[in-house]
Amino acid sequence: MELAKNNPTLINKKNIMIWATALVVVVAVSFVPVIFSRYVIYVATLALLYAMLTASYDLIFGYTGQLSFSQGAFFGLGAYTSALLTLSGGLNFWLALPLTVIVGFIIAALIGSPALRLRGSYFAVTTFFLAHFVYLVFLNTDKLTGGPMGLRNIQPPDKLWFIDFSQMNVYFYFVLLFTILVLLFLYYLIYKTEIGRRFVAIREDQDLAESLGVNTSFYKVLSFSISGALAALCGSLFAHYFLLLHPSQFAWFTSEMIVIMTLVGGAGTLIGPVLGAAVVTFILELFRYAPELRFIIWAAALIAILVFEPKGLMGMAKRIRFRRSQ
Amino acid sequence: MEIYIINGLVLGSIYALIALGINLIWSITDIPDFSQGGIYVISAYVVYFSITTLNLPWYIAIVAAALAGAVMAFCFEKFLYRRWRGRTDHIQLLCAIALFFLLANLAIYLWTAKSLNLEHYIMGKAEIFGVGVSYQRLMIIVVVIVLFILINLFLMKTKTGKAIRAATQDIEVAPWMGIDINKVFSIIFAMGGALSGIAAALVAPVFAVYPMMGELPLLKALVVVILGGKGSLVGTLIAGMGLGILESLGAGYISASYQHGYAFIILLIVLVFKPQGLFGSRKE
Amino acid sequence: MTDILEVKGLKKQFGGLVAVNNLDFTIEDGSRTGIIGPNGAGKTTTFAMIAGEHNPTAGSILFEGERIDRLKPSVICKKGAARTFQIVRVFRQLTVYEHIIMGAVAGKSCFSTCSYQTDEIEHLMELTGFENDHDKIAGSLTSARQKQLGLATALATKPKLLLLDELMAGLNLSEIERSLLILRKINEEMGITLVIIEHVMRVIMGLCKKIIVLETGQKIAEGTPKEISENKRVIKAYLGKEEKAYAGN
Ligand SMILES: Nc1ncnc2c1ncn2[C@@H]1O[C@H](COP(=O)(O)OP(=O)(O)O)[C@@H](O)[C@H]1O
Ligand SMILES: [Mg+2]
Repeated sequence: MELAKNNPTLINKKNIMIWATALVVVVAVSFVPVIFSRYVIYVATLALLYAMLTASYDLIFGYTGQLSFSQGAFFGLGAYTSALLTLSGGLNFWLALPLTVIVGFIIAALIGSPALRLRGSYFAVTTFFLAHFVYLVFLNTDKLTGGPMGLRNIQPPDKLWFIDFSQMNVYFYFVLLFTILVLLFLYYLIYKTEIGRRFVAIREDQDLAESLGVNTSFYKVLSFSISGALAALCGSLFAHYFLLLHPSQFAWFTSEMIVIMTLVGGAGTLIGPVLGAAVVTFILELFRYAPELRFIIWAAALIAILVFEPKGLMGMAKRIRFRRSQ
Repeated sequence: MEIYIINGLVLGSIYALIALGINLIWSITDIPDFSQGGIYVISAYVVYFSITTLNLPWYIAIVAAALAGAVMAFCFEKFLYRRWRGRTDHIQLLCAIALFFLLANLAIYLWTAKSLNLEHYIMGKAEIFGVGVSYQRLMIIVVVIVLFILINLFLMKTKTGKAIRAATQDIEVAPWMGIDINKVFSIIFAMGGALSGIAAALVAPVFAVYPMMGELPLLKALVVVILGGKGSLVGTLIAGMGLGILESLGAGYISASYQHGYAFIILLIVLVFKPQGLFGSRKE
Repeated sequence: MTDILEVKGLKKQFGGLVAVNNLDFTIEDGSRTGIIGPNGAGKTTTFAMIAGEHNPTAGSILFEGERIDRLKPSVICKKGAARTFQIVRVFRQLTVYEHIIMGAVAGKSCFSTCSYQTDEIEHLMELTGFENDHDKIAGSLTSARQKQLGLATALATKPKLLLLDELMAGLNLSEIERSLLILRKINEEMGITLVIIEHVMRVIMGLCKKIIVLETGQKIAEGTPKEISENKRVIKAYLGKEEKAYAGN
């Protein structure tokens, strides 16, 4: 009971069932690479990656209530930073990874502090432009990023203990799975230390939160920075899984897609966006041979979600449960 | 130098024109209407096909683009945004972005991603400060300034215009003053759509017509609104022209590859040093 | 007695509109003061400046002898000046209990895991009449109750000075009586200085020892309830018509 009271939105009695389900899903998901073909593993890895990315986004959007369209930009920054640190800097991947996270955090903090002075739609528009700006940088700093040619020859993660990533892609899948668990634990910590409570307060009513003593500008930037750092982490893993980078992978609609995945699952529920990412990734794979149609379907689907179920899958689940209990 | 400034004015006029519609919509309905970017694209195709396939004269084509833009924006408001009126959870903004995305990709699907070219509506050049400027470019600047004046007159002098201004001041009180909010919203959106349509029609012969043509003007227009201030016509015009000139000078003297990034840098700098915006306050 | 709050030459201009002009007053530590005035007189704007939501155009605000104008609301709250809002503001999705805790923890260091005393919160809930509403969702309360929740949450920040903006609007007679009792307790038992904006004259007259009257941004009178009710200018500007308007309450 005390735990339930202390942690309003993440862990409470009602959510225990969800967490138990999540655990079962995780265990089930870890069997995917054992049973299925290379292609399925590829799609599953992609789904995990996007799941992590949407989870990172849920912090700033779902919990702190700041609509941002720059998650894809931090994802890209992470990917390029990590690739360049290993390619040009000659660093070991396992050193480049934490460095990338730090870089992501710092850049997010630097941009967030002025941008988060804006509220609501003004902030959203600014981040939209940020995503475009970062894309321009990738495209135009030819010497560093290879410009429109992109970056090639990125190496898989260096050997870690006995795990040789160049041998088997499956290892990567487990690394991702592990990272997601770490991420969930980090989120749990955020809520334990009462930081998350302040994020939620800002989402619910920023002026009220400020009047009660929450340093809202600091916590907004903190949320944005953690969120950006985690997106950079995803980017680093992405770079060393796909092994080639191109600016178009991080154009503005990448951010858009993250927002869509979050909405499909249900913002502010953490598990929701993770589910949403998985669902959207698999659906998109079905349309991989009709790319133009794929984008049209995305957009139409988003509008349909907004019209019919703005709370996403989690909202739908809640409603169904509610109806059954009636 | 002069050539950059004149090119900048042309660019800036277009930003200002799209920004004008977006600003009217934003200040009254609180929606940063990204769908104007998509409306701009579709209207450009309307112009293209009016002239090439239907053989219509260019001025009719411009009217057709304005109409197409107005109808699209009108419908989006009536059938989508309206259902979420008063909501503060970004749902309308998300819908607007989805519409933008939808229209741009619809254009790719229907007409492929390749770019199409139109002839200038009016051939020939004028000499200004020793620089040759095509009549087409001059026409853009002139039309935009005339439109600004017309819209200003409309808002100041007509009954509808006054109702719109009252709604801008205080949307909650407006119904008490006998103002039909639905009507105001419809008019505002139709106007915004028409302005985007005209902007597209004006630039179609100067730049090319292609599905992704809406992205950059849309972004710049949004920045222009933030810089120029909500509800300020003059602010929009100055910020739009200013941004166009700065971009053009930046492209000429600093680096052309970052031309489309300067707006963002300017925005960040303004946010750091003058968070309340260049013209007046901006507290939501 | 010392003054906890001192306002000197305070002015606020919104564009061309002067909402508050050249306002001076002091609030004695431990006192109960009322601020009255017709709608648009600048009462809420005055609170907003004290609480740091708006920066004054001119003038200064001293809290316990220290300048607080131009500080952020969160900093001012941590110094001990809390407020409630005239318009209803709540964290809609939190439960009542979580909502009040938010007041207790909001200004604390973010690394503490248990920065509030459960029994203190319980006591506060009992005092403000929320003892049976732990798990109710804040957004589902009536707006009058939401305002009371605002009071409870502001109290949880352990303020020395509490600014209450039309807390009683929308309450019925018996609720007003209860609310009055609560405010007295807050002031007498907890020693919190109260400044109250209220339209319900009975509340102001019964509760406050000092009343400040504003009209179009300026102070037109200040004194005891008796002095105010006899002041010609106040009667003309405010009491005459407002008393009738509120007779129905
Ligand atoms: N944020 C604001 N922007 C512009 N004008 C404001 C703002 N806040 C208040 N005002 C104006 O200031 C005046 C005083 O308002 P207020 O302090 O709310 O009065 P009161 O609380 O006494 O009814 C009113 O005319 C109001 O319209
Ligand atoms: Mg008031």
